[in-house]
Formats: sequence, C-alpha cells, structure tokens
Amino acid sequence: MTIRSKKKTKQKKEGVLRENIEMILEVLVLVFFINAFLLQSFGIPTPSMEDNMLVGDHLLVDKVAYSHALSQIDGFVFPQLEIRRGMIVVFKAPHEVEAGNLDTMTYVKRIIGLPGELIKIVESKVHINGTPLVEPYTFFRGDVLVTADFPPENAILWGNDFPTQFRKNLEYTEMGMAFRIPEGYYFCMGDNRNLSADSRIWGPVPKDFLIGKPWRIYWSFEASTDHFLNKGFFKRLFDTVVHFFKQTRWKRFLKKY
Amino acid sequence: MFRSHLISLLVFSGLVSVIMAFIKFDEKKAIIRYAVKYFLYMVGGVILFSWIMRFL
Repeated sequence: MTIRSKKKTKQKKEGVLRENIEMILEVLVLVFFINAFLLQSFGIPTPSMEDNMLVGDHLLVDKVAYSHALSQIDGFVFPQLEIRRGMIVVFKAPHEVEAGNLDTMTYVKRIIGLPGELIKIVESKVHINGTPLVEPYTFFRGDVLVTADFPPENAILWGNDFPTQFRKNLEYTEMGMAFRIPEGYYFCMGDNRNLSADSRIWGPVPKDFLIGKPWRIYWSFEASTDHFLNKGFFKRLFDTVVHFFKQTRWKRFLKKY
Repeated sequence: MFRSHLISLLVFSGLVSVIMAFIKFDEKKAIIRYAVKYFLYMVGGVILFSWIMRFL
C-alpha cells in the first residue's frame, strides 16, 4: 500500500467516525429537546389515581400546556391552558424539593383547590369555600391510609412533610377549621382517596413545580406496584418481556386525557 | 428570563444550532445557513407540534 492510499484510508475512517459522532450528538440533542420542551414520558406505579389511571399506565405528558409564561406572547405562541379545578397535573414532589432531594419523585394528581380558596374535607367530602364539591371521578378503594378529614383537628395529626409555615393557614368557618390555600399554590389530590399521598400529607403544590398535563397513554402494562417499585431493573425487564403480550392492556393504547 | 417557555426554547435552540453548525461545517456561509435552518426547525417544530397535540 502506498503512502497516498494509506492517507486516503485514514481520512475516510476519520470521516466515517466524525459522521457517526455527529449523528449520535444530533439524536441526543433531539431527545433532550423533545423531553424539555414538548413531551416527557412517565409511568404510574401506584393506585392513587384509580380508576382513571391504572398501575402500569405509561403516559406522555404535554409540557406546553401549563408551561411558564412571562407575557401574553407565550400564551399566543403556545396553546397554554388556564389551570382549573378537576384538571390532572404532573408535578415535582414539593416535600422532596424542599428537602433538597435532587432525584425528585414526580406525582400525578388532580387539582382540587385553587389559590386563595378555603378547603375543608369532612368524612371524605370536599368543601370549597363552604360548598360541597361534586366529584364524579373519586374512588375509595383499599384500606384507608390517609385520614379522611382535612385539616386535622389536632396539631399532632399534621403529616410530617406538611410545611410548618402553612399549618397556620387556618380559618374558622361554620363547619369548623378550614385551610386557606396560599396564593400561587394548588391543592392536589389523587382520585383514589384512600390510597393517595397528596396535598393532605405534604401540603399544597407551588405553580412552579407543575411539569405538565397528561396527554396520551402510549403503553399500559398490567402489573402490581411491587413490580414497578421494588423489583430490580433486570428482574423487571425480564418479567416485562416474558409477559408483554399477555399483560399489556391494549384497549388503553393512546387513551387521551 | 427562563420563567418563560418561549424564551427558554429560543435560547436553547439558538445555542444548539450554532454549536451544531460549527461542528458540522468549516465554511462561514455554510455555518450560518445551517444554524439558521436548524434554529427555525427546532422552534417551528415545537410550536407546530404543541398545537397539533392539542387537537389530536
């Protein structure tokens, strides 16, 4: 092989390597870009939103709907939504962010109370500003893990994660003590009230912590909470591959929220 | 500044498109053309898809 042909081969190899690196880089940028600005994938590991969201549902979350806006231009350019009661939201766990946990859990719950409203829960019935709320989406399944009443009558009964600065946001109403939701915060609860750790436990959710709105289910796999939370990665992967066709809930494919 | 989805999108797309253009091309004209095209695709893509998602 002559020196010239050796040089040519080397140049060709470098060209192919560069091309591959550029392609990998572009794919990474694209994935990060979609994840940051358009859609993010989340899985549901617990039954706190049953029967509307099942354990094993995997969702695409629309990150534009509740995105931050500095001016009306954002609202004009993007199809942003005004946050209303009854909407389902995905958000960062406020108590974990406060605790400085970098690998923060994300939750999916329903907006029940809006900023400035008075909320009181008596025997599992939600009252907003003294008026009982009609909630066709609620379920009471499983052993009661969360107290049915809110705010707690006794100071000792506040959840450990409930921010201390908000424990005094109480006002006396005809029904007893009610909780005033601070401005810029939302009171979020799971649809399965018996098994949902939510604002009753760790307090209201700041608007800044909202990530997005569930858009569509792209895959639903019938499995227990244990499968998603306690099994090791390889065991989970193996079980998923083996039972993929049998346990996939095909009817939930592309279900819209 | 980054409390706006739009501004974050513009800044990120701007930076990425310039970096990608410098990696891919050596010629000044080609860099500018590629960077502008990449930037417009990114910003336009997100805006278009966000509206499409709303109606799908």
